[in-house]
Amino acid sequence: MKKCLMPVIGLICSLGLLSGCGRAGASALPVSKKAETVTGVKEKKKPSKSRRDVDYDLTEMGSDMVYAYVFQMMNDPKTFEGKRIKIAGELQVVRDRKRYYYCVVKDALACCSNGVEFVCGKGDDKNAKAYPKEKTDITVTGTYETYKEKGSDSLYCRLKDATIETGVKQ
Amino acid sequence: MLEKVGFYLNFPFVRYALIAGVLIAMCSALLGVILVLKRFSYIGDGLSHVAFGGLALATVLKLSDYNYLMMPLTIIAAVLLLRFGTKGKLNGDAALAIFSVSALAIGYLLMNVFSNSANISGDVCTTLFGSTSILTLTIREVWICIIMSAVTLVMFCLFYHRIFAVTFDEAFARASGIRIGVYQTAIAVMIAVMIVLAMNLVGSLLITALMVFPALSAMQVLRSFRGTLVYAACISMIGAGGGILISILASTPVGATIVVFDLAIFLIHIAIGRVRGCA
Repeated sequence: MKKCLMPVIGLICSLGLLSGCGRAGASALPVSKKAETVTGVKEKKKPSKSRRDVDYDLTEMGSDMVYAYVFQMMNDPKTFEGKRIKIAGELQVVRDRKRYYYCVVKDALACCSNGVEFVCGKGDDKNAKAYPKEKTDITVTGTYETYKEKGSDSLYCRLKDATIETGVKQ
Repeated sequence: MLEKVGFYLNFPFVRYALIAGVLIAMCSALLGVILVLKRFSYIGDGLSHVAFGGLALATVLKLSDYNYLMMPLTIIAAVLLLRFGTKGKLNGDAALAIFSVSALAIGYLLMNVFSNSANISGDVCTTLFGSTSILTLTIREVWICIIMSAVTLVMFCLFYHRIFAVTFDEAFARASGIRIGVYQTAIAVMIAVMIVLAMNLVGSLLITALMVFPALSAMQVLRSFRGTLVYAACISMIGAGGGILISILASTPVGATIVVFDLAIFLIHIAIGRVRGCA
């Protein structure tokens, strides 16, 4: 059995090296193929502010990957700051001091859910008519940003300048 | 499909899930062979319920790392059950039942009464069934899995003959001068650690499958202890890796997919064993 020790330790070391491949966290995440082809070569042409292509298209992935991806967005916000993200799910509204709009993705049992807040325009309640009805299936495209609420040190994240398509379910 | 697999493998968290999943499955299979031979197959379930209770308590106490409470509680329960389970007034399976259901009930009660989570049922469901938690591992957790797997493998490699003696004939091992208590405690600790790590992979309710199916599959076709250990570890790794990839591609719960994959492998080996028996 001791003869197996060296190859086994070698296997574990190589697996450990694999875990360090690429930069730490989500910073080595591949961008969507569409973004690459439309801009030609990566990052050479700056997209226009109003209709930039998507950097991370979560609608191309299964629900497991979307859940994990959104988790990464919460865990490593710096990687996603300023990126265009597209996600499909159900519209949920939380009413606190103002209305907060979320695109929520659930698994089949609807017990494991994850979602991202988004805002259209300035994000105040005057724009409430711009949003569809709650529990509508939507696809949201927006720019990821982090922010803090007045009087709170907690860091929140959301998709700003979001555009919404309705009736598209993942 | 291969293109999609290649695309998903570009994501670090998918690689982390595969590395941790494969290593956890391998070590669970090695320990599972011992448990099956010692007629302690269901201890994985009992200890995972204790771990769930520890997780619930850690959540209520708002600990930054749940392992600070989960791991010690599970280790204590494992040592009590495996070392002292057959010596007290309560037999091994009765003690296991008491630990198991008590921890599960207390854990769920604590989470309901003192919860600070917005989605208790989701948290409980994820912990019990391991839906996608393997895809949310941090690099630190991956390294913990790697280190614990290395420790388990080194233990098996260095102390193989003594583990063999303790598993099959404790009286002979004691007569040979082997310190039974030390090895039983070490095995109990390794099992407890692996169960806590495996909760991320398949959840509390399905851990027994991860430990038992590969061992039973190997026993259908092999007779030697060494061969069973190695083969069980190999098919467990294939089951975990294949299950994770299938679940990502098909958007199915990771834990359940791995277990179903292991079940399919087990059924195939039963058929092979029957054919070889008839031949």
